[in-house]
Amino acid sequence: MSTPLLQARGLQKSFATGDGGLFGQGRHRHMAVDGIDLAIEPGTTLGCVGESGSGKSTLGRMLVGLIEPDEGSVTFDGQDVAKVAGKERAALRRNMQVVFQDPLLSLNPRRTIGQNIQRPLRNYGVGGSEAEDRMARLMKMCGLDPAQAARYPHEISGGQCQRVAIARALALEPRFVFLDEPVSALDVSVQAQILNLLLDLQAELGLTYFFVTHDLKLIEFMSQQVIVMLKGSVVERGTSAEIWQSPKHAYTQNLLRSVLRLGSTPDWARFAASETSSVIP
Amino acid sequence: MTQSTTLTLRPARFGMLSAITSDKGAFFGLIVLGIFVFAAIFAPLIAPFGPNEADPMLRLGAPGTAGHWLGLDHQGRDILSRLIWGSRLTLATGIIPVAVGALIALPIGLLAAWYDRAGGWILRGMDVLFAFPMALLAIMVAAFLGSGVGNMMISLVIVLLPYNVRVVYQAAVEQKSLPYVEALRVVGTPVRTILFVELLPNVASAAIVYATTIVGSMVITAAGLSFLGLGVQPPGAEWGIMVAEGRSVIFIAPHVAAIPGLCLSLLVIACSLLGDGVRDALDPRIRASFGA
Repeated sequence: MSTPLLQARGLQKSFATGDGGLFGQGRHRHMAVDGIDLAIEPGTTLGCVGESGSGKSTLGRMLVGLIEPDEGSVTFDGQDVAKVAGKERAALRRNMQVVFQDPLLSLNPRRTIGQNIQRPLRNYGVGGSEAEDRMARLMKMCGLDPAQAARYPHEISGGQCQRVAIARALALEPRFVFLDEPVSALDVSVQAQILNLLLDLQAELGLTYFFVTHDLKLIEFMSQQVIVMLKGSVVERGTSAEIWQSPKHAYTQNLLRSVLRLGSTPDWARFAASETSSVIP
Repeated sequence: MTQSTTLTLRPARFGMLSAITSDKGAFFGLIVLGIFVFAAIFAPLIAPFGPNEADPMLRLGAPGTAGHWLGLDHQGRDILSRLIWGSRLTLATGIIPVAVGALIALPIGLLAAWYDRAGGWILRGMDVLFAFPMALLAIMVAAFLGSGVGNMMISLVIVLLPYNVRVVYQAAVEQKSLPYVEALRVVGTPVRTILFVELLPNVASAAIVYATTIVGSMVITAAGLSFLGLGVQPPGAEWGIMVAEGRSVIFIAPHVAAIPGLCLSLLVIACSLLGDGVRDALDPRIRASFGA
């Protein structure tokens, strides 16, 4: 077992709900993430499944530093993220990127696709023709035609928008990418394309993924290790084969039952076929 | 037909100006505003008389009086000439405070939306200004600063500030909650770049549209201040003052108030049509519907 690229210990985050009235008597704290440990090996994917509101996205946001945890720590490549500051922190952060759920809304609508992809490069002092070249390379890598760079996000399809978002996430050559339900806003026919692109990129660039979804079908396709979340806690963890074949927790069993009959193993070719046939009558 | 040829040869990517000229309403607004601005700049050359040259013999002369196309007012001054001279102060009092106010409000509103704590204080400060009726606050500030056109404009900027900041703040808060802002943070975008490079154009359209709708009420407020002796001093020419002065003879010679009033209305309509056009031109999603 190699050393994990990303490690989290005792992560905890709660949010205040309600304004609590004049004297705060009605204020509640909602535990979004309640003491989670995890470790992700380099070049692998940790899948995270759970229903809406189970804290999956909050957990991912803490891993990449979009949200500060209340308790616990995140270690990236042996360094405690909270303990580095200034330039080093920026250098650490650029290794951790995100692909968001809604491809159209995650791009600035007033900027062209090219400008959206070049933003991260410009943030780190890459400009002019070098930025243009790297943008063109990123677009090709993500299956986009660099000639489209002058178009606006609303002028291209959702699948293409997600390719743009992936290109932007990879612009800083990160080692870790948090995939926050990257295909749930897309047509089923496009989902497989995007997931395959992500897998190809992972193989090519040695990326490490934290893949969040509420769709159990996608988990085995994408990930080696899986955690199942319920109300802010991990209720079950294991390799994805273990989770599929012998779910221990009742919640996981329920999740599985909602996908397919218990006892049958997932057959991706059949899944893809059935999905396609449901799209094309 | 050379004109239409050049139009079709234009590249598919629209510039701001061609987006406006292809929008009929905005084009009309641009033309009207252009005429007023032209009149304001070249007033000494095109006005047939000085703003205060009076011919008492022809007092209240109707439009069409020989040598005075638009008639004369109660002191025998040529209305056309006063309109042309008056366009200077009218445009200045209507447009400058609105433009300056919007420019000041943009950074304030953006910062208030981004930093919750500071934003709270800024908005409470604006609420204090909101507590006063617009006209009353304008009078208070103008009276405090002393009369004069410059001071009147400063007072209008202050009066407008809370409204402008609110509009910018609202638009910025809406934008801030969109995922692309989070995406910008993840790729290491500094806050000043997020606010003043990425968010600004998305927020500016709301501010521009709002600004164009209040040009009219600013001209009217300015006229009110002038009427009270706090702004433009008579015999200075300004459309609002002309309407106010024509009020006393409205039953005998309605044209004295009606003609400058009509010009004021035209100005307000032109600004608002142009503002709509500018907003559309700023938004690539709407610009696409022009058939680019």
